[in-house]
Amino acid sequence: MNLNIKAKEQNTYDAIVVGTGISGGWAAKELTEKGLKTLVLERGRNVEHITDYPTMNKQPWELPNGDRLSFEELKDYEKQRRTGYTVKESTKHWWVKDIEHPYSENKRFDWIRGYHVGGRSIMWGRQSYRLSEIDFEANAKDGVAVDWPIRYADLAPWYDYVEGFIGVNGQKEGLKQLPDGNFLPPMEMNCVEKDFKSKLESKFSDRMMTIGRSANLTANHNGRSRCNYRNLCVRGCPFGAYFSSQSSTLPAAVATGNMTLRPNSIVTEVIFDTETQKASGVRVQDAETGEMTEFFAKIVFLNASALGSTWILMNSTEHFSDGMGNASGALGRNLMDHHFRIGASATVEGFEDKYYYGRRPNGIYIPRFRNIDSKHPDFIRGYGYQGGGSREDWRRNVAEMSIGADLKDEISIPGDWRFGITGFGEMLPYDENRVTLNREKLDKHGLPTFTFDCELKENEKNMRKDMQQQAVEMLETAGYKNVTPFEQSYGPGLGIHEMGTARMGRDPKTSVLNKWNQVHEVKNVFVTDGAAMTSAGCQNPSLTYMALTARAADFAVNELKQGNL
Amino acid sequence: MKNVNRREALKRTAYIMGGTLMAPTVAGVLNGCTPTPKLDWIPEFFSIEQAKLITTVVDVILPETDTPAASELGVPSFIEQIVSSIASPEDREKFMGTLITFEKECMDVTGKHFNELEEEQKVDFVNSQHVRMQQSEIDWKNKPFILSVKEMTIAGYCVTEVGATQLLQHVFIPGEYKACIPIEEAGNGKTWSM
Repeated sequence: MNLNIKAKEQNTYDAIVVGTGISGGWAAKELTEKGLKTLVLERGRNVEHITDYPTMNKQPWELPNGDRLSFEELKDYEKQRRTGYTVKESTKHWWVKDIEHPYSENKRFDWIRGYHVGGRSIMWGRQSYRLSEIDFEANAKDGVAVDWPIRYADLAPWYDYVEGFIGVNGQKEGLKQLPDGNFLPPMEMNCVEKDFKSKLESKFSDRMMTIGRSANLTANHNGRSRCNYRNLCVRGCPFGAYFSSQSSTLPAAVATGNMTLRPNSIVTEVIFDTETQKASGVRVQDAETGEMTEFFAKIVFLNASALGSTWILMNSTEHFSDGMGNASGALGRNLMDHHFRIGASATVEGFEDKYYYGRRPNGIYIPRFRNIDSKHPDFIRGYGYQGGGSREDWRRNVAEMSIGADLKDEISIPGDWRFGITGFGEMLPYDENRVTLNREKLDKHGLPTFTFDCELKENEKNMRKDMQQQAVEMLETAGYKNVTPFEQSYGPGLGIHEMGTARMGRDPKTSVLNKWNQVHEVKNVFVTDGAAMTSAGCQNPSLTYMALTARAADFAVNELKQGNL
Repeated sequence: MKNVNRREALKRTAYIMGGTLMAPTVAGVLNGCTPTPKLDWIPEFFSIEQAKLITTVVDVILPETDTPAASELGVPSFIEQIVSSIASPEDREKFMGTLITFEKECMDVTGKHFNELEEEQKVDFVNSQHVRMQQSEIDWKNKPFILSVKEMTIAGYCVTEVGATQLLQHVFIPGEYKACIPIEEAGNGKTWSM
């Protein structure tokens, strides 16, 4: 008995954070800085900043087969490889093996993820945009799904706060659909990007183009050094020049002395105390030994990624047959992503004597222009474009190039300027787009897996037509040559912006979380990652997860102090 | 003329002959020294004959100039790796099928196996295949041998250290970004390697 009490004391903290990715790192930082002894659990292996980025300094010729994986090895990554760019020799250690972590697809769903400390904060695209009032009002105005329980004003100070800490570069533009942030100096557009911007803005009164807003440092910031323009971010940055949990939030949490980080710790469920009607902690399965351990805390933050957090709630069935927080039946539903991979590219003449130096880890952004001041007949919501200009290199049209010594000359001279844009469109929340727990098919740890049933519907399909048509029209209007529309294979999830499945809402009957990201039915459990999203907007979402997390952590600590949790 | 590379051999020949020889004759002289290409790696997937053929073809595609020939940078073994372990079994089979077609067409046109041709004839045949590829509509699902090899040769060459730093220009840590500058101020003005 004494032994048990002692063990429980040893395993008791003020707070538990599940996950160490973009939002988990933020929860860890905020809770520890506010004085809470915090246990941070990560299902994957440990990754130390810089020392555990094995390929960050590999030259192209040091990577076998031009950075390609063998056909045999790629079989382990059947789903992760669907992006076409994620699984390479230089990055394969960041992605799960699908053979170890399987899932089922009633309809195609691309669940692209990595299990390690830092999560996808290491490999993310770093584009950082705010949602706007238009986005927070959208569901209510359109009569779609449920209303967000918050508005832009609730989140604005927290956007300021997280941008100020992580460092986001960008240009203020004063747009109502894309609020300005607390920016580091913007990166520069190259010659053809500037050309396109001026042509676009002179010919389309409702459109503009800005340089991408990215979490790369354009100036030294908070003890981290600025970008060196290698554009090899995905391998991990030796300069800590982009935001990752390792470069930014976890060091801040470590500095408080209040964080205990425990890798290889798979949280299988949240423990519910029927007496207090609150969570008392979490149950952890050791990823290496399979040993089960319980940890206890006054509050639990789930930051296991949108689907990871939902999985934990669904698997917390000791006192909730349909999963914790699922009285509404909304858990697992309204799964969303951003649909993309459709747009156009063109050849740009007239800048043959110009080039660039350095590799900018950022592109251009054309903010949403549909359904803002006018109404499109075929779809609601909108899309933005990302893209950029560059000169063709040796990867250009091999068939057309010459042969022999002439070919060598051709390769060594920069090719044509090309400019291309890809739309990123909003996907509406649909009840029937969902994940369910599959207890028949188990992963390598013997744990239940997911079955996906999610698809694009009419609104998205109509929007995609416009995404392509407008891309072509804008490039043609700019007078560019060889305008080529493209549409590549897309399945929901491929945007790696999967979100929803434990949405915030005003009514416990139709949502999982309240306006503070508390589980309606278990108030000391917070979910502040992508699971919380009530609608998707069309902006890259990670910055919003950070802001929601910092806001919820502040609320949670105040509630704790007041004895409300 | 063992251990003398082709460029060196050409220079020497030109010196010996007073620099007056026409190129085809030079090729003929060289042919006497190295009738078939030497392999600097032991093929595991290709046969010796296939490896020699591919070595010849890659050097017609990217010959020695002021930068080395493709074969000197290990491009043939790169191609073997791509074909044997990176490509899907289906693509591998297709590629090997196009190699057989290439050989058969060589036999039809010249009456000889490719590897048995004089150096000059090999160059002519590869060039004729390339011309035909450029003049016809390309079926991208069934690319001709010459196009597949050309793609792999360029890719293999440009990811070598010599290719990246000599044929192209390579700066691994640029340190800064200059968005729009005169081409002559962008390093040495050559194509960036990455």
